[in-house]
Amino acid sequence: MSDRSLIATLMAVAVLAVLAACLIGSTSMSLERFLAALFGVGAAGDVIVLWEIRMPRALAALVVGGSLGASGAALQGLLRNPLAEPGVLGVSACSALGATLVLFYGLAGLSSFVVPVAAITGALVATALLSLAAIRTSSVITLILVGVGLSSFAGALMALLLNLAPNPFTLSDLISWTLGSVANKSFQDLVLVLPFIGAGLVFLRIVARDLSALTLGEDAASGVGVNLRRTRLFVILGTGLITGASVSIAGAIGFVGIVAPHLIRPLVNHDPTRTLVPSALMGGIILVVADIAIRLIPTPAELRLGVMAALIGAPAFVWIAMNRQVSDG
Amino acid sequence: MIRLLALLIVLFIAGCGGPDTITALEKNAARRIVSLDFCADQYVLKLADPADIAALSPDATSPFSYMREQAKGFPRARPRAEDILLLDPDVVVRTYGGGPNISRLLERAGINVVQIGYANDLAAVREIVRDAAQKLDVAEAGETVVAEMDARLAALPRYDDAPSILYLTSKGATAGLNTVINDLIETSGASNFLTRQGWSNIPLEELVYQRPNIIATGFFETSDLTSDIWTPARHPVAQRALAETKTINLSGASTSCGAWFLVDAVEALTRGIIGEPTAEVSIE
Repeated sequence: MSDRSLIATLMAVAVLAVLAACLIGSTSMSLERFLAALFGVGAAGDVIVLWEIRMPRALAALVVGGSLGASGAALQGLLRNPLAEPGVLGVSACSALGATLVLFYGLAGLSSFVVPVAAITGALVATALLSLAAIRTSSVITLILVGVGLSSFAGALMALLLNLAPNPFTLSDLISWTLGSVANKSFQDLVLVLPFIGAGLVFLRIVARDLSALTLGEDAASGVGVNLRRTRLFVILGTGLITGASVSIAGAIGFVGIVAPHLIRPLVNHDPTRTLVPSALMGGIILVVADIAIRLIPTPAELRLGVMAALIGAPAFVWIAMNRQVSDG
Repeated sequence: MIRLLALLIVLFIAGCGGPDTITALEKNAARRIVSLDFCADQYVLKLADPADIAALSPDATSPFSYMREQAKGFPRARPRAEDILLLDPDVVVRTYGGGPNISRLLERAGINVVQIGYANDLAAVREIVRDAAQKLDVAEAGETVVAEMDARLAALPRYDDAPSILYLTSKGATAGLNTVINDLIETSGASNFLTRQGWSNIPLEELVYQRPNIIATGFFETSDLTSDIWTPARHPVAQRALAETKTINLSGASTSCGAWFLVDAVEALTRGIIGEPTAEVSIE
């Protein structure tokens, strides 16, 4: 399958998944009413339910999944390791910590951009620390362990902040930051982060080609004219921006960044450059479908999206780790 | 020498008995009551003699504590067994504080533990007030509280046309049937907008098609971004419903525990229904 037809197919599936997500909700809506509301000609109530409640939620899942899929693919290309992913490497946790910090100190009320910017700053700090560690060590296992350490540290600081909060009810918000959710998201939430995600994608687009050359090793990549410093910086900036932006609207959702590129890689001949866009689409599809699933599973309280992502993603992570060749480590 | 020895023996015995005697005297002077959580604090502050209160819980003066003003000035203790034992209390009062095992531990140390029950309606509140008062040896004070409750409920103004009320907290939780809030709504003479059982998240989609006559809001006065950034009450559909529907603000403190002050919430509802002014509600 050519790249173009792969991307076209994934886009079609993504559109279908979003439409399916819009069909499902707490009130039932017939297909006729749904189609009328979709084109804005239905009953006023149907149009509001579809365009203000269901569509923003589905698109939030698509955007967040897409961000995580692209981040995972880019980090895996840069670090030449299929296990690299914003969740595993602690980028998402540091990002959630950034958001929690500004909330704790009451700065979030200053502007709507404070929380996304803080989440992005947290993510950028984590990606910068990881890339420093990557320069010092060639062992990918060490790097993953650094990420695990970062993740635990950020999680502990977050728990500490919420422990110190004057209001015991604050604790329930910790759950949302760590387990992730796109429930009740509005277009306002999405519009706020789209510029950051767009900027991140531009950074990744600029260095996408370099990722293919990196598969030969850093020396060989330098030999064919890749500016390693620039590539590293742009991947850090790009993944930091899009991961931070997605965490600020949906909390830390793990493993999508591993599963999506893993499914795409065999279809693009394991070329990291060609993995990027399809991984983003696949990540989006995975989260939209997972969000449909949590609404259909009859649990007393709706499951968290991050729980569903981890239920699928964590076993996949273990499976990929077990099947890696020993020489990789 | 023998005299000296005899004196030493007398001093030794006196030394051994001294502290016990003093403790016994202190205990006769006043009981030492410690409460383990802010709901227990309310009962202790309302029913017990202030001189008997040795310590309250850390949240006794928090904004969601109804008796926060009266709680000022009392020592506070964390609901941990060793902290409590060090206070040497005679009576420990709790609803949930300290976790399920603390009662057994404290009772083994000879402390009288008063467990306050859970109230799901005003009838249960009356029983719990009486029960707590009896266990604290202040049965009369309990009867006075119940009589006050009944008098205030009997004095509620009557009105025609029961409105439908949706109770919404700043965290986006709504109260259905079989909740204490449902009992408050019905006691005020109104009907609950929700017909499902128990607590659930705000039904955003239903609110698009159907609105209650009134939205009763809870805990909005203590809401901030730190604790409520994820709340569905911030969704544009919820915000529009709040802006376009008559609201009655129920202070979080008056509904945070199953206690006599739930009558405040019933009065606020009734006043709001008949059109007396209530506080404005907003969530940023």
